[in-house]
Amino acid sequence: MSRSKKNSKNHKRSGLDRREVLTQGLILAMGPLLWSPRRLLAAETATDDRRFLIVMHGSGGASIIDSFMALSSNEVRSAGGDANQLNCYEPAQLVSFSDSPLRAVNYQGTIAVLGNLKVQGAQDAFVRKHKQDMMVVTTESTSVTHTTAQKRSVTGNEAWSGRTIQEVVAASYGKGLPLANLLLGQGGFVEHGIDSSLPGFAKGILVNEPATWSKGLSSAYGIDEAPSEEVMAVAREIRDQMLDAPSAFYRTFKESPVMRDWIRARSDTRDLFERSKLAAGLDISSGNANAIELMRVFPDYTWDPYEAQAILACMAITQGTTCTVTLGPSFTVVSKGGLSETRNPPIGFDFSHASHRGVQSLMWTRMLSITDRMIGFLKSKEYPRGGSYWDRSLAYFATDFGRSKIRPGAADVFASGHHLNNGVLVISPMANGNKVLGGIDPKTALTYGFDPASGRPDTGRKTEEKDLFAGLLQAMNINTSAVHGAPDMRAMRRR
Amino acid sequence: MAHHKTKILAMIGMLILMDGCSWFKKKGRGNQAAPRKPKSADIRSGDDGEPGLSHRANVRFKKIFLLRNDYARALQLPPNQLCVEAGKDCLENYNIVLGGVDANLMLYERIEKPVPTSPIAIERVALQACARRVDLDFGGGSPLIFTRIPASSTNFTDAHKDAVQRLYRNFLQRDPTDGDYAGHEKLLDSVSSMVSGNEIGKTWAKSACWMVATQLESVLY
Repeated sequence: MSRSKKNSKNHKRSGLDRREVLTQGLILAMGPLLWSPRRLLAAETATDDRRFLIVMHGSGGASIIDSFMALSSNEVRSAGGDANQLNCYEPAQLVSFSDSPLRAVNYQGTIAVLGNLKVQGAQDAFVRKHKQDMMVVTTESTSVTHTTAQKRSVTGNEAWSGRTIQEVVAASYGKGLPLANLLLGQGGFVEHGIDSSLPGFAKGILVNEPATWSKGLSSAYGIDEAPSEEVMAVAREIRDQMLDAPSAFYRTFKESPVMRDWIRARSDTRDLFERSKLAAGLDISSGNANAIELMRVFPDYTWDPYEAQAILACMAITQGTTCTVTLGPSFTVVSKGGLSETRNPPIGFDFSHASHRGVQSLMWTRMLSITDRMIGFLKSKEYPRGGSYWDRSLAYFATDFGRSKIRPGAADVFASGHHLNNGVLVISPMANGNKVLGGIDPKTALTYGFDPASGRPDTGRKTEEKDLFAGLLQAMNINTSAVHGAPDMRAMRRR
Repeated sequence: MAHHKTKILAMIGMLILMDGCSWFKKKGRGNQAAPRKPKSADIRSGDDGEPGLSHRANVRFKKIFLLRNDYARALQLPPNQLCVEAGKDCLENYNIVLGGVDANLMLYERIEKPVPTSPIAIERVALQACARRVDLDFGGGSPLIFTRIPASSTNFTDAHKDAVQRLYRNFLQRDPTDGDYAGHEKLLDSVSSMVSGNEIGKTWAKSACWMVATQLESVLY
């Protein structure tokens, strides 16, 4: 609109009542906008056939050859490899299953640099319990820089115009949800995508303090000294109508997008949050009936942020506020006591630089323990359309990259570096469970790909980031025609 | 020589032509070419003069450190005691939505635009900080903002006006307009009908402080 047209429009308005002009200005400023929660709420009932994505990230490099595709020294020797130089396990440390291609590592040892922390790995119990839903997909990533690799693990290396997998799922299943895409984790796994056409409601909401964050969804929840709701409502109305609307500041800058966003958020979004009683519903406290059961399931939530994340994630999914959550262990030390009680080493999986096997075992055990409890909870909660929440969930173990495949002189304690070659774990009733898609060369410990249609191992193929990205979305019944060049990853779907 | 003269004349001609074009261009803008009246004085004084509408406004929201410092200065409270939740400075709980960074989470880039929860978090901080100031001022000693506010009066007294003026000067660096005073008087009317006698003054003070602290003018710049 030209300036002269705007001037004439303003001139015409001068005949109106002043308050009317200001009120109209505010309404225009709020406008029909992308993430207008009221609009979304109206559409909520239309999308009740939802799927839920749980991005369970292993920061620092969760190695697949130290878990579900581990090699035994006998296999390496039989293939003509050097078992003393390759990261392979003694048969006593490995568990194989007659009814599954998955492996499990039950490593026992100590981590000297963590005050001789004892490690008691027991991956076999998890595999026995969940193997029907477990699918391992071999991968070849494109970066060994942590944050870059993490970001690519959730964007498929910018496969869908730079949208993250969480954003795609939120855009598909999150319409009508107040917190569609909840980002509880860290690093590149919780970065926003770069697709400016993404609907606002699908953009991730970052949570830095999971144990207390939900209070911030209300202006006054839990504040004892606050005036009553009625008084606050009056104060809000006077502030908006009598102080802000006529102010020179508002009238000068009302065309600013930031100001429009601000006004919309403090009115529409706040109204929706308050109406939904989100702050109370997601509060991790004994006063919240929804939280009590989960506080028993994850009792260490007060000092272990990963457990607090898990509580918030489970509540958000089962209370109908969220369709994708991202959580995982951080790069920060977590310990209830001293060094020898470390639950999360510094830099997480990446502490494998100091002590590979002990750290891989410790971190895998940590992640599988949280996952097992989350699955148990989601299985116990019925989805409104029937079945459980777990029946509609997919947990993707995103990780930066793999770890180096070598070791010196048959050592049991050694250090490892970053490596592009790896594989990821996917757990879901919607995935092609109890499968390893691809294979591993016992002479090199390098994984290789598979035929996307049949799932047959193919030594000439590598699963690229975009292939994995597309396959995960297809398993969640999302059309991936926007992913350029990605094949139909039929082998990753159960049906 | 003649060739050089022709060249020089041609260049002078072009310069005149260019200047003429720019003159016509200016002429074509009509009134808009005239220097615009500076509006900053209107905005600062809050008078009823119509301020100019900015078409290129680069408005930002106050990030966590700026917000903390401004609130602390306005309410004359220690910056780390504006609000306490779960035993710690509550601003830290909302660090990311308030435009902070968190090295532990490897989040090094702050948000430049507010997210839907940013205004809600700020309203929460403001409410607790204001309540703290009001409790101190009503608790005896030397009140700093809310002085001599009658506990149960329903009339908008000079003490109320003085408190409103201090709030505006502290938070917005300007005096309140007549309209601003009217808003706070209306708030007192409403509060008087909603709470019991001795709570009127304190409840009004908390709400009035919160209104100013969360005004657009206070949280955006």
